[in-house]
Amino acid sequence: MIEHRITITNDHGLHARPCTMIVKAAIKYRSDFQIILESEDMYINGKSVLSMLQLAAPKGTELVLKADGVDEEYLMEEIVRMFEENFEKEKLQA
Amino acid sequence: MRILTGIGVSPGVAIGKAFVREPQKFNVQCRHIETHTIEDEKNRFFDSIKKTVQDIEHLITTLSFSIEDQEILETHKMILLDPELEINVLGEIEAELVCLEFALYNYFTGVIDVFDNMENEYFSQRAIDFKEVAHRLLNYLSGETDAYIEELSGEHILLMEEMPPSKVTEFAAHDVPGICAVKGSKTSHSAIIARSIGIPMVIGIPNLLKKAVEGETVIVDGRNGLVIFSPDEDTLKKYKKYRWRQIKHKDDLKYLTGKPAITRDGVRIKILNNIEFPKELDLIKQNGADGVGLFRTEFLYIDKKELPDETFQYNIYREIAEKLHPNPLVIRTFDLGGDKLSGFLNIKQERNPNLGCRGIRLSLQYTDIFRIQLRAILRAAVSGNISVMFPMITGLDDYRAAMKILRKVRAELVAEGIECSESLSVGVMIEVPSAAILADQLAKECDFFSIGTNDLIQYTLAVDRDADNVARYYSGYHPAVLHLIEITVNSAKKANIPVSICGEMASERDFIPFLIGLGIRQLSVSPSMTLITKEQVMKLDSNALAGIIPEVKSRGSITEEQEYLKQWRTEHEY
Repeated sequence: MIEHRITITNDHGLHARPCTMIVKAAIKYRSDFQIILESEDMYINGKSVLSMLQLAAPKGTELVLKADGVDEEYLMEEIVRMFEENFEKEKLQA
Repeated sequence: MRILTGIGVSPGVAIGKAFVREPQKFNVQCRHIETHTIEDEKNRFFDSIKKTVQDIEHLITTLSFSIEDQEILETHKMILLDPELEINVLGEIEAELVCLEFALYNYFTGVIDVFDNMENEYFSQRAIDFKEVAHRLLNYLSGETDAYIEELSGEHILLMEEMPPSKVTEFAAHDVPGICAVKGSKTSHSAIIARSIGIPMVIGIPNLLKKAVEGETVIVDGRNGLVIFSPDEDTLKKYKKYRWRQIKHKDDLKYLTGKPAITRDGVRIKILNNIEFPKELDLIKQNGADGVGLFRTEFLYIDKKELPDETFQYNIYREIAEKLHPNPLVIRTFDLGGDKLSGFLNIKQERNPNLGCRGIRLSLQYTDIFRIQLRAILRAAVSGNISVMFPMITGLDDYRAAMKILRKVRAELVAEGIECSESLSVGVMIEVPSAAILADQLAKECDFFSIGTNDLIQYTLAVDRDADNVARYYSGYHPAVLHLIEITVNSAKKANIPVSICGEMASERDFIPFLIGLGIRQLSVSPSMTLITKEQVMKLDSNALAGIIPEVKSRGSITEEQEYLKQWRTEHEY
């Protein structure tokens, strides 16, 4: 199991497009993936776009990402990169 | 009077009463189920998710909207595949013994409520996504979405969110004179069909449904991409006159139906049709075309949503060939991009599908699909005048690789004792510049050429014809395009093989003299353009056309070419 603490830096936070990107990436891996909003004590399934949208996490929110399984490192690497790039990379490619 | 501007995707004018087709509202009854039917209900859930996801993937790939729209559809897909949806809905069915519809309704109502109550507007807007997904699912389950079609008649202009490609022919059957939609693109299937049937159509009007009032008079101007609500008297008069001339012109041309297209000096030009659906055969007969110069077989996938088997394809090819006999049927093998087959094949998303694995490339990579299609074509060719052509050929290597498979498939059929054509004629689509440049080489090995102008322009000028902001770069009058067409025609003449032209340039009035002047004797056009093309050809004298070619070659810009050809035509129209 690995954890990674991250702060949302893109303008509109975890809105539909980032959520969709995260889920699309996460479901490729076998590991479980959780997103935790510690301040509200919310634990959500990182492979569910609905749950993630319900977090309604704006810019500046601090989250804990938690991956658990055989490919946890790969999953975490990809997701963390998305956050760091403000979910921009895929948009440019599209 | 209110004028909205969109994109005209099918020319002509239609006048009628607005028939507004709003995205639907749903009304769900709670039906209790028995313990032993829980499994059935669950299976309905999986089935409806699967079908709805397929529909969405279909929309993503066949209708090219903006990136934003595609992203929204991706989100919808993820909502459908959300594990929370599955757990909650199946859980409720099992615990409460309620029907699937009610469980879905409860789930989505709850979710929509949560979003509606969010303070951050950016997030609360997402309720709309869940509403749309819920609509899609419940509409699929109720199966009653098409009842409105029965209400349509010859006086209704249909206004919708988006046009389902499979429905356009049904609208035409109800005599709907014109169609407008919020979404779509010029190359979307519904647009191709509308052009083929000749229904004026305008798309790409974001606030169409909000601006429309049910039952008010509306004009659809497909050439200029305008939709005019409650026109003032002068405007209405102008358009009525225009439409009257259009109808009269169509009527005037009817006498040409059974006549062959022959130039004034006696040169026979074959006017063929581009078709997509077997249903279009009636249109071919009505317009008196000389056969089918391009049968796009993509619909076999796009409508069916599953891999079409050999028998299914064979039956369709044979039926069309028999009906056309002795006129020709030219079948183009699947010209799909990998993106359109994501439902069947495990293909990675491409950054640039137009430059990716499409056309013959896909056929050579997924040879099972290609082999099945070739088997069906070879078998059907026994019953009619069938030939086959390969799309996206870039040179001899592609062509030879495809021919190798064709020969192998034929040998297999012979070994199995199945009757098949021994002498199928095989052509190459010239639509990539490299193929035009190497036409000399290709002409030595293949039986005919068909120049696909739409793609040839796109690839020669490096311009996506659906992208609004570069649309002005897309022009068949570019000297480079004309040059490539000339090379191709000359190579075909030298090798003594036929060359036809399919693509929208084949039916452009100003362009036809140039094509005939080059020596092209076959034009393949949309069925609705058959008679107009015939009329144009019959006005020409091929002796006078020879002079056009050196004149065209001496000009170096799009504007000069276009002006010259337009001027030539107006001066020489008899």
